[in-house]
Amino acid sequence: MSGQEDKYALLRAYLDNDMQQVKEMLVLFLDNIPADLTELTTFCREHDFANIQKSAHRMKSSVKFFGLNEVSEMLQQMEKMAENNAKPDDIDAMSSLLNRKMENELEILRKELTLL
Amino acid sequence: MLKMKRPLRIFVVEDDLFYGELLKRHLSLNHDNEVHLFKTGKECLEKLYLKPDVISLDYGLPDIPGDTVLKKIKVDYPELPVIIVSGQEDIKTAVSLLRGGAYDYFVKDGDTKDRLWNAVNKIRQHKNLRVELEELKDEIEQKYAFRNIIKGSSPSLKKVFALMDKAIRSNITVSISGETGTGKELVAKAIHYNSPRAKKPFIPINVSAIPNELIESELFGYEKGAFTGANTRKIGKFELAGGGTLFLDEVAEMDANMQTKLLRVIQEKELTRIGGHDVVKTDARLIVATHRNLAEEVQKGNFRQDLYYRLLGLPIELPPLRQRGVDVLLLSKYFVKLYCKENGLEQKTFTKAARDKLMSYSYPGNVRELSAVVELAAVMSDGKYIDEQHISFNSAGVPSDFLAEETTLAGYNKKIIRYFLEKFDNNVFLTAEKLGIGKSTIYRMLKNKNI
Repeated sequence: MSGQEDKYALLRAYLDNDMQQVKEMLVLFLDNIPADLTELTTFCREHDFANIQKSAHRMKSSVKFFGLNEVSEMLQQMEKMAENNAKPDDIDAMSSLLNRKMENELEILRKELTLL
Repeated sequence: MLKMKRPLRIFVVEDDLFYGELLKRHLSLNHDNEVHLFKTGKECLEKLYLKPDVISLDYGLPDIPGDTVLKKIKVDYPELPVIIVSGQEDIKTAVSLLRGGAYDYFVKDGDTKDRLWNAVNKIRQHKNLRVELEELKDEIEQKYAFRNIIKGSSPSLKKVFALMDKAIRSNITVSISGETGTGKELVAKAIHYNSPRAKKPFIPINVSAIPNELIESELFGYEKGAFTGANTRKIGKFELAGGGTLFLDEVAEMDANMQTKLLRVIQEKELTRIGGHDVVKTDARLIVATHRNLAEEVQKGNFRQDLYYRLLGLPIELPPLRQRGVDVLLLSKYFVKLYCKENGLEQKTFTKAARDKLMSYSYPGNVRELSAVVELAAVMSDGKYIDEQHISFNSAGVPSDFLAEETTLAGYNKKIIRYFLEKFDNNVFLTAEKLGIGKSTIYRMLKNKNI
């Protein structure tokens, strides 16, 4: 549990340690992030660099609140790749890597939600 | 009266639903905040009619760029604090937004919540100070609601009220005349605080109280180094009264040289500080007052005719108290209530004999004198009643001027009857009763124009 508390430290700080609100925010995140990820994946598939940049930029802040620092770094990398008009293949590769990582992390978060 | 304080209304404009919700919840930890969340710039702009007190604006919105939203907000609400919250640390953008009127610029990082929290608290403090200031201004306006401060119901005073109403609804210069103690400054304040200029300053200056050689610098100000001792720039009363009202009391006492300068400023609506070169525009409304008859002063050559006509504007003549009949009793009642409260005394009332005594006096010092007489009477009386022995008049207020001009007995009779008619609002019945003569005597004299 102590590890879990550290993971949500930033979120708790925003919510004055109100665990009920932490839980509600986790639910909100889990409800919305799959759609955001799908949208980002679509932009990657279409090689829509402008929207990849916007989408990745937006998501990279939110994921940090749940301790998903690695995911956040990947999103930042993707944002930069889009900014620099990277090779489409590289974007595709990064997109699938991100999807796999995200699926695992979301699965863990869903389990943690039941324990909160 | 204290206004109900409404919560601080905060708009959070954030396209990231999660982050927006988080900011909303964070700011709502303070129950004095009312937080509204919007996902787009368009939604925010459409809801500006709700009059937010502060906006936290995400720079990278999907529909309208943050700087455009900021510009649009500033067009209609230039004073509204807008805090930009951006995901990018870009000094150029930050500087440009701050120049464009942004209140602050925060990068989304671990400290965002604390920075936002502190900024919002600071804005709340400013807002509370502004509200307090407005309440104080309202209080002053209420205090100077003219029927609250000028007591009386005599016909002569009703005429004054009618003229004040006209003065309040216009920007015309007002010239107030009346004997000392009739309340000229109170009338000037009442006009100002009931006019659209009420939120701007009311600056009074008593010309007779300032030496001639200083009046120019008092009115127009001076620049640093204009003369020995001018160590700093001084803003004059005309400038201080900008948008408000300048009240020149005892204007007839102004010397000829200063009258010329004043005339120029009134005509040109601009002035130059002593020792300065810059021309300063002035839009202060003028209200002047004097206990002298200005027209007579013009005839005597003591006052410039052209300035007289400039200042005359709407003339309001305040009647002396001796011509205000039963207002004496109404005012006495008001003063006794006020002074009993101020002096920690039980409330008192006047006996019939005390009322008669108050009515029998001519009050050369007018309302100011009556106020002093009543305060003393309230202090001198020990019980619940103020009797005639508690009332003492210090000035020779009995109509001694009757004797100043020698006349026949019939002439004195006329003067006495005229005096009491004025005192009782031309009430023949009261006058006849007071003087112990028949009403018909008075009617006959009136008919024959003997009085």
